[in-house]
Amino acid sequence: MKLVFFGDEYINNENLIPTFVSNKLNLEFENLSTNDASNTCIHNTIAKKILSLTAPDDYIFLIGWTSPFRLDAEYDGTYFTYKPGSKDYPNSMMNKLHKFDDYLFNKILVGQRWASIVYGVQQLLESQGIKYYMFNIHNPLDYNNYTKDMLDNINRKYYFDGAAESSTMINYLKSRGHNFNSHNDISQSGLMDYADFISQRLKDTRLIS
Amino acid sequence: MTTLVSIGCSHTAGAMLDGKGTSWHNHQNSFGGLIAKKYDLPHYQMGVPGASNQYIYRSTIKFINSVLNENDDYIFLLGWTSEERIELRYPENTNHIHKVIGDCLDLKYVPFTSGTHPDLYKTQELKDMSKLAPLIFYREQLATDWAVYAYTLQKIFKHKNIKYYMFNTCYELPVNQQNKDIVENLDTNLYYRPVEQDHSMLYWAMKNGYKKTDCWHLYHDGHQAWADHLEMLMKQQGLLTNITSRMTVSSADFIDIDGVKITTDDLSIISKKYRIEARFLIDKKYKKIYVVYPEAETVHSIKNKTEIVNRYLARKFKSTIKVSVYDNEFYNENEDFLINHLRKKILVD
Repeated sequence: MKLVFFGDEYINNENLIPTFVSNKLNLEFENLSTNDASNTCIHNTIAKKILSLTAPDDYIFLIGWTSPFRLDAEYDGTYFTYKPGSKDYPNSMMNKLHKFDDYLFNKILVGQRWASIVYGVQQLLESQGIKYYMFNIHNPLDYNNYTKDMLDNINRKYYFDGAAESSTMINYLKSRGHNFNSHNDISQSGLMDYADFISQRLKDTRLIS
Repeated sequence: MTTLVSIGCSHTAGAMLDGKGTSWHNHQNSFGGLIAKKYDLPHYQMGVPGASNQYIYRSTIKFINSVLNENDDYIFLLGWTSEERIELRYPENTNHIHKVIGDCLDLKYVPFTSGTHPDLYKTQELKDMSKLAPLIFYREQLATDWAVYAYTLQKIFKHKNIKYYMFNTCYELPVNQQNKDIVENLDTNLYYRPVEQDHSMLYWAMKNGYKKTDCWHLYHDGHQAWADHLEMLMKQQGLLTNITSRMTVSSADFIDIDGVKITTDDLSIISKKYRIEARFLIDKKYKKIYVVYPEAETVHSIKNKTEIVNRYLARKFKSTIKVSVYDNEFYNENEDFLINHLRKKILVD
């Protein structure tokens, strides 16, 4: 059995969470998370990884969904995401887009988009017989009249409380007394704490015996 | 009963097939409408001019979760469009809508494309934003998204045993280092030559001698030819065997929602009690209550009256019991037409 991690900079951070989780469970791991990734980028990475598997049931995909308020962008061959409230981009022209953030990051738009990605990825993994566990890093899924039907049909057993504000990785760690600096960076002990939590969830859901 | 669902951009909507624009006539005579007519199938026409591949993916997932009835048979026709398009949404606190016709559409969504003339956007923000379009359209990524959307939907359709056929409407799916593996793994029995421009709907028709409009859309004859071609391709995959034609539907005498039985008499009481002139329809199959008001009623008025009905239903039965869809169109049409029409409307607020 091998663990494959997907997510953003919080998962990619010096391989800390993947290393802690795999050590705890005594399993191999592969880290396919990307700094500054969007959820669309995570979806794409998952699809590509599936194609490379010869024995899908030997894998558990661990997916940390990032903020839905990220838009894929590129400058001079470098991938990054455009975000509301951020000004530090490889291409400073990107800052001209902030005037239009209400359109680009409309709450219902990003909520529906993310819900359709989560539903699609769950169905994709289940259709291929791949085990998975999902959690949110920054934001909860937005459960409203626009997303209700999709979110009512997602598999909650393998998704840690997707629509609960308190269940995001950041809020979970804050509630356990871990401090984040102004860039929302977390200490190594915080990441270890979350690795413990994820490991336990894998056992509780019997993905790992 | 088999239902045809066509989702895509202006080509799927049948835009310009009469040389004029978009209309119900064009919807019905688009390639999807023509196939539905030939086989006498109910047809969800979800083609939207300017729509993106994001829209096609999101709407398909939404349809599967919100509309699809497990007891029915469906054929999805997905017409993928060019990559430099995304979905935006008018802010909720504005009255702006993107007025288009079609089924199951949420009109707050606005298609944003690299080629749209700024004057076509309603707000100054969108007009200004169109000048910055190159910053938003990361082509390589959007081509990868397209491939991943198609791949994901193929797996979902197969997993759920739903029939579908995919094709490109205007351009080929660009292959790059990021999406190469995904593209190679698309099921090309059910996605018509995805990487060949000559086999997109538009170029296939032009190659076969059908004329295009000045804005690169096909006329009626081009849609007929593409419908015939698609029919042949779908037949090869067995998609058009064992299909069942539409059946006439009528309003039921009662409905059971969340363990509560509601009858036509209950609904008549509301009408009399509050002096509301309306037709109440019970859709037993989808477990929904519809209300149709006379055309003369305003949008504001029908909203208020529906709130009165909903308050009564909640008080008398259960808080979850409410009208699913209301409208002030086609008041004098027969029940079969109305129920089929209202099934295609999504009410979200």
